[in-house]
Amino acid sequence: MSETLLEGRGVTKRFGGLTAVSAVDFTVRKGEILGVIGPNGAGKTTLLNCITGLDPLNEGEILFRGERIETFKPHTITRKGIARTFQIVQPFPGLAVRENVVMGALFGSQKSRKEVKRAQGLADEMLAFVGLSAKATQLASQLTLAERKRLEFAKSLATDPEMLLLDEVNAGLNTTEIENAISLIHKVREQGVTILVIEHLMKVITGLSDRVIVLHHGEKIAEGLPGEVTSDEQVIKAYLGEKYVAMMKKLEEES
Amino acid sequence: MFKPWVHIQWLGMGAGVLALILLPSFVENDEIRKWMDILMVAILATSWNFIGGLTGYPSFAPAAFFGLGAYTTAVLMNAGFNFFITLGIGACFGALVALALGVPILRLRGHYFAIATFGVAEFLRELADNLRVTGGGDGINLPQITGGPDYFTRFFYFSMLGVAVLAVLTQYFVTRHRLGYGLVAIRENEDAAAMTGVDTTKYKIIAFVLSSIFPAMGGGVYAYRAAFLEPIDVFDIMFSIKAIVMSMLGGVGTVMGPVMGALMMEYLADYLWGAFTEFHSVFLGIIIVLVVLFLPRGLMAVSQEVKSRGWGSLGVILKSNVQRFKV
Repeated sequence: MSETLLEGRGVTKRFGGLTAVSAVDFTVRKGEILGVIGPNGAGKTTLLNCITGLDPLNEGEILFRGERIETFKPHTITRKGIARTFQIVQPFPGLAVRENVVMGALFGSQKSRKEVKRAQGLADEMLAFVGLSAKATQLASQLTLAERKRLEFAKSLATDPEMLLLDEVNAGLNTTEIENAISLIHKVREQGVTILVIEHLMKVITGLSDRVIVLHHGEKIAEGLPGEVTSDEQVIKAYLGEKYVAMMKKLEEES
Repeated sequence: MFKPWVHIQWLGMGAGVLALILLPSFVENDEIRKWMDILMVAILATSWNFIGGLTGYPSFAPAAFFGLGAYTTAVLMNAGFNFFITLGIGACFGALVALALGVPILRLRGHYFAIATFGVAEFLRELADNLRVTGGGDGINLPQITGGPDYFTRFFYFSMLGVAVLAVLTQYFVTRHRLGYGLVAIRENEDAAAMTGVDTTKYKIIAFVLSSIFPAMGGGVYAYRAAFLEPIDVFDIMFSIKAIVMSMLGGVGTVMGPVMGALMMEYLADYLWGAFTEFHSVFLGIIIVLVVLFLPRGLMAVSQEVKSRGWGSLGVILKSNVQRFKV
């Protein structure tokens, strides 16, 4: 078994009386793809926000390469080597696509990429990697949703991450676009980046992940190989029941 | 700031500075004084651009730092300090105040930030109105400069020009540097900037400090030239509003935009003053509204778009500007 890269111990986040994430333990091993699934409101995005420093924890600790990071600010965590994408994409809308990625290259890494020229070179590489080179000079606000998701990818990859957190990269995409996104995720992993992916679509996550953890009402109710988890009775009850059926129907309608 | 016309910019800037250096050899003192006023507001507009244009935080603080610098020079020159040393101290004092204020008020965004900076100018005005060291509401006299009108007109002109060149050069280097990219990232999407690795708090404070230094120095030159200060003169909110409107007119977030905006605005104000003495501020007000409506990103941006899309699309461009503003 390879070494642990990211570890959460008793991660708890409360918003007023609501416990969004409740005493969740998790480990992400170097080089793997860990899937996090759960119904809407299960606390998946909050968990990502905890890891990236956007929502400071109430209890628990998070370790990255053995170092406690739960008190760090978002920009520090990014520079430590954890990048993320957002479910609702967060581009710099008034800037060209290329400049968006330049930002990641300039600020995301602790390595010496602080010169604008070098950052631009790196941004071009990243755009080629995600297949957005042709759109480099367009404004980010002019991209389609699928393209903006690719831009998020390029921007976060430009920060030279060791670990990439993906928040519903497939939400709002059609089947072809989803296939492209998945092949992109595999390509990223081949570069040696460890990935934690939050996903709604069961089909997608079982095909993508090495291991899966399941959240429900902020608690971790199951963990294991994708096949094991999907046949877990508790998981089926909590998540795959009504919602799964509804979602599959929706997916079929979309495609 | 990301356009390839960098070299043209350098040439233009060099030619402009040379013309401004040679200007006093060819024109009357009256004309020199007019250009001194243009340079003064250009300093304010360029400085506002650090925080308002690049970082996207609508500051009404230029008047505060202008007044702060003016009073620093007044008080220190009365205490026997050399004029240029008072400019340096004024700049440092402005920067320190910006640093101290920036930490609490840069947590605010949008309107709240604007109102807080507005309050800073008012607070300092009240302070100058009531402190003994600033002469209170009676105002404060400064030592008179010696020498004839030809000499001191040029002395103040070149002092103002020096500060303006310093401000524009600083802005130029900031926009080419990592710092400028970080500021623009904050303007475009502050949360995303933080997630991209920008230390947003630090960068915003740097921008605010940069926006304070040059107005403070300009205020110092203004004070020595005026030889008499009243709080209501130098902590005048019109300084802030002019800085903002001029930046918008020329081009928010660009290096030369605020300078061009200052030039156009002052010439326009001058013309209107001559043509409609009684109603000139009405026309000026109308122009401010038109600028905000049709040119929120400035003439520089519109001219860029016209260049790439042709004159025929001017109407469409202006219309899209208005729509952008409605959102």
